[in-house]
Amino acid sequence: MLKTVDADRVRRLGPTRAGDMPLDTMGDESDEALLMRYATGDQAAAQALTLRLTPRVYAHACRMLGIPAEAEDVTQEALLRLWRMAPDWRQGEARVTTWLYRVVANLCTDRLRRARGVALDAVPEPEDEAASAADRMLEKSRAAALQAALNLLPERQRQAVILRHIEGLSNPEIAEIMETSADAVESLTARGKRALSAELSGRREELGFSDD
Amino acid sequence: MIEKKMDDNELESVFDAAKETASLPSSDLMSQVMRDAMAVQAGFAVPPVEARPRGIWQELFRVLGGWPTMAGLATAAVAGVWIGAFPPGFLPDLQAAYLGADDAAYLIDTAADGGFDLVEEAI
Repeated sequence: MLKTVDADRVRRLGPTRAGDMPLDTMGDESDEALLMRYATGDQAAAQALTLRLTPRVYAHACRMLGIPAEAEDVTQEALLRLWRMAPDWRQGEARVTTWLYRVVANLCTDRLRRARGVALDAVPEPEDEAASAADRMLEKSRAAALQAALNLLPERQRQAVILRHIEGLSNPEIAEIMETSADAVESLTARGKRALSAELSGRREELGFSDD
Repeated sequence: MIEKKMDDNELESVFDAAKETASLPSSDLMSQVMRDAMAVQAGFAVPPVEARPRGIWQELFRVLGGWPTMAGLATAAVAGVWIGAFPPGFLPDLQAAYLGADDAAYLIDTAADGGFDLVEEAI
């Protein structure tokens, strides 16, 4: 039986770590099917879409912007646009996630343009929680170093590298999101990787890579 | 000293670290997104529906295709009853054909005395 859940319940269930994430009870339904049901007033579909899409959108916005507070604003705005356009959604035209990634990219680009000139020092390092294991520390410092290097890439290269190498999307799907060709995506990711490699080479030892 | 470049495998390890340490939304953000979803949905023309299980008849009705299918089934049923009760003139008399009115010559006299009287009458 499907259950409806209000915002207070979501707050109580609210995740702080991946393991705490409430389960998406409609995992077998596509995003598009859920969006259709949302448009017809189904509250359970609203809950399922929120749980499914918010973490994905937020993680992507964080990687693009490097600033959690900005990423929160972008996430809220992108999903608000999705809710508003739900009744006009044309079935089969695009995937919901493709549409969302495109909206997130546009919102991030606007913010990056406005923020241009902000010192890189203003970009905080990801929070360092009390991690006891050395490999956990190493993982965090690698992620932080990568984020700092990603922040230096041109926006399109950054977007292509994040979608391809961190979020694991295929080149054709990225091409659809970025409204370009798969060849152009290939070229963007290759240049992005070269730039990241050059930027991170000086920190190899610090990041746990030896010369052996 | 020449600095060694980070190779593809090392870069892949860095990407893996980023995958493992993905930032997760705060509970406040999740609540805000959910509130937005509900508020926008409340503005749609269709009133929100509480999710509830369907009954067997509702499910059958939905599986069969709804009102258009039901209308077709009802029409077929009425037409069948009508044709059965008042068959049109151009249709053969199916009842007579089935009972074999034209095959009387094949009747066999099975009377106890075995006189085959009916056969003789037929000849």
